[in-house]
Amino acid sequence: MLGPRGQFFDAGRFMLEAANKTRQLAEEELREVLESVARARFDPEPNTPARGVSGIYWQGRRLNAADRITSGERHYLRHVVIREEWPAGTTLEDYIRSISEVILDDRSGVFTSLYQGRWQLGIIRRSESLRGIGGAEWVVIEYRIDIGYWTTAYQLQAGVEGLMVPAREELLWLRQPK
Amino acid sequence: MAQTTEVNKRIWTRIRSLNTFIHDLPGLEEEWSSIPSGVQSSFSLEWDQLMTEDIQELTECYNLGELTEAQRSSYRELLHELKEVMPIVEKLNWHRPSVPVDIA
Repeated sequence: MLGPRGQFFDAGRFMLEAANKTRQLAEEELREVLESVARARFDPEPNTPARGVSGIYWQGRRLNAADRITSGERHYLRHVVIREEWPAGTTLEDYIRSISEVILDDRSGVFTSLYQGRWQLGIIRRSESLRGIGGAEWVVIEYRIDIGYWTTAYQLQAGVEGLMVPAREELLWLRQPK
Repeated sequence: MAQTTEVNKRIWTRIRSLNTFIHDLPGLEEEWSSIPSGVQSSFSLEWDQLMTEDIQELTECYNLGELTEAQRSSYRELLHELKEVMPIVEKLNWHRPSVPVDIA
């Protein structure tokens, strides 16, 4: 993929260099990185156990805990269907679209961090119209740089402070949330 | 009245969310090594959310007397179940609950 200046653009490398503080991303480079992350989506392979969503009827069957579904399906069932973090009636496609929109929103904060020893890019923005009855003030999306997929998208009440969990280290803001 | 109903629903949503995850945790631990690392990260991040937000919110409501009797009972049961799975939580090196699990 060509970058903003016509050179080959390696979004993952840019993210890692930014995380390691060897590169400060220019605004247009950050934009390219975020466009790449917005396109990434969840891993499409059905490799995720239906743990925590068992018993739900999904795609015409009742899920057993050991069934394997896609990561996107599981996140949708947990955060939208069970927890009602997004408004009632939100479909899987709506959920995915809303995540992409938050990633591309100029008001969203962007950070890198080492989570359980793996580099991630995170995006955080106020939930606003995305907030359902079980939702919270902020939407958080995390993207694993080494595998190139989203690893979660959920709502968080505590905001920036809520990101500071023991498993996370070296949090670095590439852009503060507005 | 509508607000009370919403809060009530939200609390049940939190309890159900914690219950379903804790209930499935032993099975998850059994298959942990066969799960891709990206999926492991997803589960771990979700546990963080449950332990930093949900359990905290429920505990505050419990301490403030804002839970119904049925919710109080479910909350105490939840803490009991959480205590039972603590060895798994330790083994996975996950976030420890931010509240005491011994009040049940």
